[in-house]
Amino acid sequence: MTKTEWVGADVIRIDAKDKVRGVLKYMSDLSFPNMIYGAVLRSKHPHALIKKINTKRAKELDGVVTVLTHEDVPGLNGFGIAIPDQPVLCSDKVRYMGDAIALVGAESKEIAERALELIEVEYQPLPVVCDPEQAMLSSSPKVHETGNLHNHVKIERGNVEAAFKEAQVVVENTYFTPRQMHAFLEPESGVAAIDEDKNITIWCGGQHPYRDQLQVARALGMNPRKIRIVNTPTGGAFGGKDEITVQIHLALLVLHTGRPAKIVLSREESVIAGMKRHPMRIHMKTAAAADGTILANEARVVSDTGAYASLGGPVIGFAIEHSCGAYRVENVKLEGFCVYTNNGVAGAFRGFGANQVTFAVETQLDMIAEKLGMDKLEIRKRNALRSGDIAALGHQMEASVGLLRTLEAAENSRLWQLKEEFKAKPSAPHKKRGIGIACSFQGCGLGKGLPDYGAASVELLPNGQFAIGVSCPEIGQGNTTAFAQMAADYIRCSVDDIVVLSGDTGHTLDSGTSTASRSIYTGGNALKHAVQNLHNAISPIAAEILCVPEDDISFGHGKIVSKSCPDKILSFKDIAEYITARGLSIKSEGHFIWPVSETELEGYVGIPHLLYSYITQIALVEVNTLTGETEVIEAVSVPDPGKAINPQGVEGQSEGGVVMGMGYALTEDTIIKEGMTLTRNFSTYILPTSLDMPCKIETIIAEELEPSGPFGAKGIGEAVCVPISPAITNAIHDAVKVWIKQIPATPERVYTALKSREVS
Amino acid sequence: MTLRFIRPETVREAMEVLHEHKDNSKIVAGATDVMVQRRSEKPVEEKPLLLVDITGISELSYVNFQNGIVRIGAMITHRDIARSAVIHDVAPFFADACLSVGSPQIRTRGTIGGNIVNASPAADSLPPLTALSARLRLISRRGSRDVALCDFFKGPYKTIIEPDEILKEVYFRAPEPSSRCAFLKLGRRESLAIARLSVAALIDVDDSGKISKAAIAPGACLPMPARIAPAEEALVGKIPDEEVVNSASQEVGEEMVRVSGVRWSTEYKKPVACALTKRAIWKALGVDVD
Amino acid sequence: MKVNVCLFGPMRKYRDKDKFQLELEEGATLARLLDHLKIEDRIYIVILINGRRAYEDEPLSDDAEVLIMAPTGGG
Ligand SMILES: Cc1cc2nc3c(=O)[nH]c(=O)nc-3n(C[C@H](O)[C@H](O)[C@H](O)COP(=O)(O)OP(=O)(O)OC[C@H]3O[C@@H](n4cnc5c(N)ncnc54)[C@H](O)[C@@H]3O)c2cc1C
Repeated sequence: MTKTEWVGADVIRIDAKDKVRGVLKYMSDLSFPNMIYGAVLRSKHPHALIKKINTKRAKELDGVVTVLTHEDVPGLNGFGIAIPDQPVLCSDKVRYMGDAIALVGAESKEIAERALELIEVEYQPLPVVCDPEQAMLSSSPKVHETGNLHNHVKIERGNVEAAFKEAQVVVENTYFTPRQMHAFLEPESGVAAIDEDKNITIWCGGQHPYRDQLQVARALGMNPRKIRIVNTPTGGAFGGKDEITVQIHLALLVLHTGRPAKIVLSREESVIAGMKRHPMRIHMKTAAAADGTILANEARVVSDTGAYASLGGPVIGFAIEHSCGAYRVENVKLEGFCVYTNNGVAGAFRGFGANQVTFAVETQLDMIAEKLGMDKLEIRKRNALRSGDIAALGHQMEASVGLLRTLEAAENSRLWQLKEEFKAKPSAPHKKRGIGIACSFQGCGLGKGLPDYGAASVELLPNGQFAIGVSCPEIGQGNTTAFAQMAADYIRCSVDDIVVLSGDTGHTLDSGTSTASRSIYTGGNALKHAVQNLHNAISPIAAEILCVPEDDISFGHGKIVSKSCPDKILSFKDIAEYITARGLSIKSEGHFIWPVSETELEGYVGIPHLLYSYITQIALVEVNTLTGETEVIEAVSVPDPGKAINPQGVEGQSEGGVVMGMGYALTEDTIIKEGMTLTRNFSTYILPTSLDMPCKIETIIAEELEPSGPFGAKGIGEAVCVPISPAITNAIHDAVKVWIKQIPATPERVYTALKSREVS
Repeated sequence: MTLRFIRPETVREAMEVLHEHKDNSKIVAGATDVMVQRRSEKPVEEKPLLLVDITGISELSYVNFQNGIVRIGAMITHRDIARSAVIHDVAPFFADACLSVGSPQIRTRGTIGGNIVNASPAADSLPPLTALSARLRLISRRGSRDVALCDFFKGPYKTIIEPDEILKEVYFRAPEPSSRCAFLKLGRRESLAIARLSVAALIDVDDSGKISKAAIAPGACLPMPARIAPAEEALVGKIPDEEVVNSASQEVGEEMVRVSGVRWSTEYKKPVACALTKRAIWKALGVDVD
Repeated sequence: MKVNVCLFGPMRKYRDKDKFQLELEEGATLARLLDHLKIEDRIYIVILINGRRAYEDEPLSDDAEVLIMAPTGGG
């Protein structure tokens, strides 16, 4: 590959100026003349039958334009990425407090909200299903007629029992993980409009415009082509906008009124109705030989998906795939259950099931190391997956494997090298310091079973610049800038000459989701093909102008040059003017389908993956033994993203990921009791603030180039928030010798653990 | 819809309005509590609420120090207090407490008057003001009255203020220059954190090294602000050592349980309240334990 | 003309094989193919013809590779 000019450089984000100046308009900032405001009537019970819905009084209120119920859903009254089990508007039953029953469109937000109070719903409350273990019993009330077990995954390889017998150490524990909230700054919101031909456009935060289009079409019983979805820019998503949020409600409002409509959820509504990370209960038994080699791992994982499936099925599969960590384990017995309850609803969230199991397995590994008197980094090196190894599900690691590279870089970091010095100087006598390390890997793309595909377009504009189109939305992660960098290097032009179209079914080809750490890899590969086609279209024209044969044309540094006669030069602008004068245009497409693992697991979709990003993270913490408070003082984050297209972007992801994983480890939990959400906004849901961040987060990028990736890139959006959580809890153990088996490790939990250690 | 709003510019004008609308008006200062509370209130159609915004009344914004008395107008913000040279000089723990409130935005809007009248058990200004034996001046068209801070509260979010009254100022006698003080707060994070526990300690030591005066006022663990007499008694007249400080701290935990009863959180809060008090006392004594 | 069809995920239920060849009349559209396979949910469906996303009304060409799935995956 020729040297790159833009890829690998800290190109300033193309959306940075507008974002910092506050001029960028997010979807909830958009307004139209004659627009109505939508509000959603949510359930009053976590589990109940609906006996009657009366909207008469609401309809009579001055300023109310429409009140819609299930009777007004023209197509399928359901949505859901995997199965459409969530009603657009409930007709006979509610399954969580966020369930939508009616939809009001009014002249103002205030009127819409008042109208909600005038809608009469008669309920017959049902017993609330709150414990996933109990929910699986046949005696449990059913959340869905089909039963409460949504998905069951079971993978067995080798012989765990035999391995447990021969092992030097066996550790067995139960872990609990919280219901983390995505906490994007922009709540679920959007606007929609309809034209005379009943074409609907929806501007709404989201992560896959083309799938939103299909879900909306399905609920409206319409041809998908009549629905345009615009997802860019989205004000944060983290997986929480992968599923439908307000799109179908917006479409119903414009369809029934003919007027533009807007819906913006309040934070409380977003918290109650929106997606969360699956809380999991993980029982894990791990065996190792005297030299630290992991011999066997047995895991039983119960995941609470709440009232509806969304991506709960794939999440439990992903959790099982990642439940042995990024290590070689020959004997495994892994079982996962994804269970319906009345506890809100859980779905995709950065990490996609890896976070929960990584917390468990990385704690297990530290316990084993301690029993064997082994170094915590050494035991990870010993077991780390290498290229060609067989991973837990029995699949071969065919693609680039960077775990060892990240471990080596972590080992050489200042924090690890000087760890005893760092630990020796706590800020007060009652505070104790510790250092923890953890690793993980993160499957990129949608995995085996469904083709993961993507497309991109490149158009030569009349001014000689290029418009590139990739539909993976910009959700704040910076993919549009990376697309521009890659396109500039493929085209061989300046990054300033690239205009990026993104996240719009009207103007970009379907490139799939901005999820699964996949958009750079997919978009980049599709762009590569699109640019090849672009070059193929430009070459004959250039040849014609320069009067040279077509194969004499080469592309370099914003120029088109004759190889044989280097003073024959054209700019892209020359080509643009030439074709514009002749009424022609050059627009090319590129299509790409992901390679997949050779291994097929009968009956499962989405596992295993072929490509993984790898990461090692280290945390230095200080635990206050008087209060149980934990402070993360410093962190080191060593991701292997493949080629870092924009190193500054990788650092940004890494730092944000560390803080998100820190919140997961220490403070964050959406507490639901008897189906009722208690932590309804940011005063009680404790997100870290800038003052809680570690004083220093050092990111060391350990690139293990991926041959199939654009410029060697894989993905990094998710892995960065995963192992930091167990790195922190392992550091707590290093500091005060208590094992954290339930996160968040709140002051109460740490304090209680400290006390019971003193007692025993 | 059901809300009316008025913005008087003088205390006199405000008193008139409040007098006239005493059954359906509410004072708003920085609105950092009022707005949050209003969102969860149901509007009552028959009785539209009149919000009386006092942010335009410049007469209520002052910090005075005369004849040994510090007077702080109700409209002074947490940010003002945290930056006031007078407060830093006479009662730095009060400045520390105000600096620990919310975030820069909240400190810039939220007022001392609002913090007091809102009467949250977790209000950060109250422990130091309690330790300082502060008093309040309430005014209305009917006249003015002065009450001790500790007599102002009836319970969590409940005070004796009448609907037509305005809190004009809070005032206290500056502690002896020899006295030392400390405020410590335990929140769930570094900023934007409501106190889960806090302690204000104001201590004076005489020439012989004995504690001559002590005021210990915890926050967030009692229904309303109060000094802990048994803790103070355990200190006064003693030369502070590990045992003295420990036993005084223990009293705070005991008082908390005595007043609030045993709750699910007691197992954590009691020992931590003791530990926090211990550190606050030592810090006030000049032994920095942090 | 002949087209090569691949069914994925839930779409597999429409055939006992997930990879097969079909003989269709010249000029047939994708809709014709879906009729032939008796595929019911025609909205929540993703079809790639030779790697390119296609909608029902598009024509098929000889030897086309047609992948049919529902976008039910995640990650
Ligand atoms: C995000 C956030 C974080 C916060 N963090 C903290 C914190 O860390 N610590 C803390 O202590 N508080 C905190 N608060 C609460 C609040 O900011 C403080 O209590 C603040 O001091 C209230 O002042 P205000 O001027 O905004 O009061 P307002 O909201 O205007 O009024 C509060 C109450 O006082 C009454 N009132 C106000 N002024 C007068 C007056 N002069 N006379 C008579 N009645 C009056 C009002 O009628 C109302 O009942 C926080 C609030 C928010 C929203």
